[in-house]
Amino acid sequence: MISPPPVNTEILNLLAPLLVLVGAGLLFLMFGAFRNRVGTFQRALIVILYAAVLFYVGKLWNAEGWPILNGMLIIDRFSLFFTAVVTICALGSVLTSANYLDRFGLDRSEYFALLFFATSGMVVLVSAYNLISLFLGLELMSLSVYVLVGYRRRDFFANEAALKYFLLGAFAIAFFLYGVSMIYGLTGTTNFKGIMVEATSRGIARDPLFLLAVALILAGFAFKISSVPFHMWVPDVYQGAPTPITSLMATAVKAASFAAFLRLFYMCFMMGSSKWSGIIAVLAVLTMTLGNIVALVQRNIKRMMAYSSIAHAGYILIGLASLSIESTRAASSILYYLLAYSFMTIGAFALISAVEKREGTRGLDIAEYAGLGLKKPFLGLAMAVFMFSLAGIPPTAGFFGKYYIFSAAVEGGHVGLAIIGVLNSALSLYYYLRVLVVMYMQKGVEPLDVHDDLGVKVVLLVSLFAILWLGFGPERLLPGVESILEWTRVSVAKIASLGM
Amino acid sequence: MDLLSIIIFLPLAGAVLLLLFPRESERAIRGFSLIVSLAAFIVSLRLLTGFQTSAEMQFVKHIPWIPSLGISYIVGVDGLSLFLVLLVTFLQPITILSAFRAITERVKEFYICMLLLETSMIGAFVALDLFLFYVFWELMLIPMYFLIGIWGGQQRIYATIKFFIYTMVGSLLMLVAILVLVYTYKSQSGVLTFELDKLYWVAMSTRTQWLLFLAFALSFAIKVPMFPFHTWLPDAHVEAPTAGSVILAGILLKMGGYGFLRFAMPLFPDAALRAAPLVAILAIIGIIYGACVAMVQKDVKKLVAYSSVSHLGFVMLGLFVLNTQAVEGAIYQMLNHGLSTGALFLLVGVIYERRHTRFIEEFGGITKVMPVYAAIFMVVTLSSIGLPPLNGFIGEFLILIGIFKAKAVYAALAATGVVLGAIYMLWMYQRVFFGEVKHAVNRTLRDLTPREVIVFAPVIALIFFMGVYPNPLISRMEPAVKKFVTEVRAGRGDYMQITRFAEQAGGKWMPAVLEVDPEHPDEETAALVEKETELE
Repeated sequence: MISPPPVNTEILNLLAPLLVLVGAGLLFLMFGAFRNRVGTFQRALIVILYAAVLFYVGKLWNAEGWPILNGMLIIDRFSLFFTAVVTICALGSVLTSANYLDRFGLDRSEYFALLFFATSGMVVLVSAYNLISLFLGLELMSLSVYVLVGYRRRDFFANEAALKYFLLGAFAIAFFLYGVSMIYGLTGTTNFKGIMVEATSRGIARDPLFLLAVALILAGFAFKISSVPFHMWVPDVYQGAPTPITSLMATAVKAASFAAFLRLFYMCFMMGSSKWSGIIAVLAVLTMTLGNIVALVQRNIKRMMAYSSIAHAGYILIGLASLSIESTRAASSILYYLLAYSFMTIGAFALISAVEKREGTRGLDIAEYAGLGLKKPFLGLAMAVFMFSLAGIPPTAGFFGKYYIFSAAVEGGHVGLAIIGVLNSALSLYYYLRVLVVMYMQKGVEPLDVHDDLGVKVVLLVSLFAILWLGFGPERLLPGVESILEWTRVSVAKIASLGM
Repeated sequence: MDLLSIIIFLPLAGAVLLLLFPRESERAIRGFSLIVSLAAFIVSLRLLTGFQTSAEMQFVKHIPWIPSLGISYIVGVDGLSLFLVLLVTFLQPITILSAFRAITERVKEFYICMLLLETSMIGAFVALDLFLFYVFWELMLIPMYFLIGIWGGQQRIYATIKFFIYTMVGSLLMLVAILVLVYTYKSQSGVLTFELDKLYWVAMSTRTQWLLFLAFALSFAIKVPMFPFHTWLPDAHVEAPTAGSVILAGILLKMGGYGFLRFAMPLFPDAALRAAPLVAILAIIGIIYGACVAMVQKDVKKLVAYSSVSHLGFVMLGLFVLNTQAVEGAIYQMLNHGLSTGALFLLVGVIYERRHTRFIEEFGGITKVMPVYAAIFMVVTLSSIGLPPLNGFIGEFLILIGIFKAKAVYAALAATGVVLGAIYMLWMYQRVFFGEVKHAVNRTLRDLTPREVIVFAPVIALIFFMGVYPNPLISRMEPAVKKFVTEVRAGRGDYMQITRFAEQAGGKWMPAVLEVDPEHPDEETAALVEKETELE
């Protein structure tokens, strides 16, 4: 490895966010051994621990982005940004969990331990600089989430969801590993930079075996980010999982997978060949169109959000398809979009979890939201903003994110993709607006009982604020996002120095 | 803060303050929103007094908003937009006052929506940055969506979703077109900007121009609405509450015409010229079709809605024959339509509040029970059909002269619309107001209350004023209109030609400065076009 070997304490510093998360996971496993119920003290501790991760992220922000641990991980702004995103998503999930777990009788310490392990897996995933560590992160994240999905173990839907997710997930991971092994066979390395150098210098980018390997890896990621044709599991799993976990899957899991996807493809596979851009463009079109069309007919709000999350994965894939060496706009639009999308989705799921009930219709039918807008003005307003943002209407973060992605597509010469993208957002209007129609324009029949405790309210308020802030004044954020992508310039420069 | 920004954001500030009002204090909420909208109106009068008669943009404010993406906050008014802004601020307090009794449910939300709507409408009329314009343009939809959906009639949900999706589809394609335009400019000049002033000079191949024009035009044509994109309008109007209909007809529809005037035509002049015959034919179909459909309506509100399709056909025709009179007439007619159709919807609202029906056959002989109401209705009807000395006459007359100069056939066809307009309006008036009182319930109808008289008085006054003395308005529009006509007529030429001009201008992206004889702008343009052909 050409990276200078850093001093040990420095490595510990760089790993601080990860160490906090793993330590917290172990700590909560221990708590579980003594007292299974989670009290106010533990809950406060969880929030503090997550806040500590954010604190370390802030502290490390200006750190040098060298690969560490013999090139296994890299702690640069890109990985720190996504560490922050997944931490915020996990925090949102924790805050909505408190009341939810109480009501559903799931209040156990191991739930939070698994949540911490899942988050640490995500952090490994977004910091991975080697296919092996990428795989480790992916597995750590996935295994924890498999368990969390089936956490309501006496519930039929939860069992179905967990089984489906696990089996399909295992297949996807197998594909991924197969691809990794081929890459190793071809290039003799699993290190990202090694692959990049090999792929561009020896001309193996045109080797059919290499293409097959990349396709297999693409399939693995497509499963995690719920892209067509690997999306079948999404609605059932989203429906069966406890709502805070659905929220986590729709935001943190997706963001982390996209981050690894972006880094790997941008660094290793896309530079040598432009074919991937075409294939990803096709996936993008299929994904968003299918997601939006099927979402139109959903009556269960969790299933609707599941298809909506498929559609949003499609929009982000537009950004991936528009990646280019000359401009960082496409890459930064993906970062921005993931952040914006996370906030609106966390907010929407916090509200869904507050309305959800244990018995009867479970409070998941969209029709059960009738009259919510009037009875709970704040919740109604928040949901309205989330829905408008998901639909991409100004002045919200969702609009700006979409604008950013479409502008990257136009800049990259993919006008067709942008047009299909906007037509899709027009399609999506119908089902997002329907939620508002029910909430504001129909009278409720049954008395609505909403469990909006402090945690839920905090999540709603923060998401609301973030969405409006991101929508109105992205100027503060954009240079930050652009600076995150410094590594791409560095890697491009390296390729140039190789004389390619 | 500069004047325009105050006018834009005053209603928004009012809406935010309204959030703090307790839900029960409905009187205070009504009063406060009336005061806010009146204040905006009074401030906007400063625009009128401070306006210099020239073609220049005035009251311009330029603040960088998202510099890294070339997005800025630029607002300004010229002769094209000045009166449209005033129309917004003028109609808004009237509408708010008219809704005092009609809206009894969820009062607070209603007035918040109204004030948000005002901010977004003014913003869209004065924005000179394409991104800013797009944000305001879309923002308009949200309050309107709630206005129709919450306070509307029986079929309100169907109507509001149709309205929203129709307008959104058009504007999303416009968004892509905006992006293509901006990046084309960037590839030529190296600067990423959404500033309208700069984008007027993008060089494009004829094909690109044509495609982008179509995307813009679709968005605006849906808003106008032009035949065959008008089908959302009757639904939205019939289901909307009175206040919503007034704003929709009075102002939102003007957004379409204004969009053509400010964006679609000057940005893509060659394409606009090429599209002119097509637009003219669609406009004429709209004029006649709208009038014919209006004639057979049983519901007064639906009749007025279809009459809008017909009237706005005139506006579109005027815009696309592209001479000074016709374009002036078109802008004038937009204002007229805002006043008279707005007033008609208010009048229909008055009778609907009393009788809870709008069917023509339910009435008859209303003159006897509501004389004041009948008189006001008569004035507005006459204004709508363009009888001198009322405002409608001036607009239609200017448009018809302009059209006649360009193409006599168009004028002949369009004039049938005027006749048809007189038929359906007067026939409706006759059935509602004259004859014996057929239904016993109608005998006890109350005439206008003082509040309602206050609502109508300013509109009636303005209808007369604009009919008798149009000069203050026309003279302020004229320089901007002349500039518009000359620039669009001059066209952009195709890519090669423009680059050559640019080289001659020392590599700077400067428009060729036109010396225009104010008396004969068209001849000058023809000369310029000739010169260009020679160069080639």
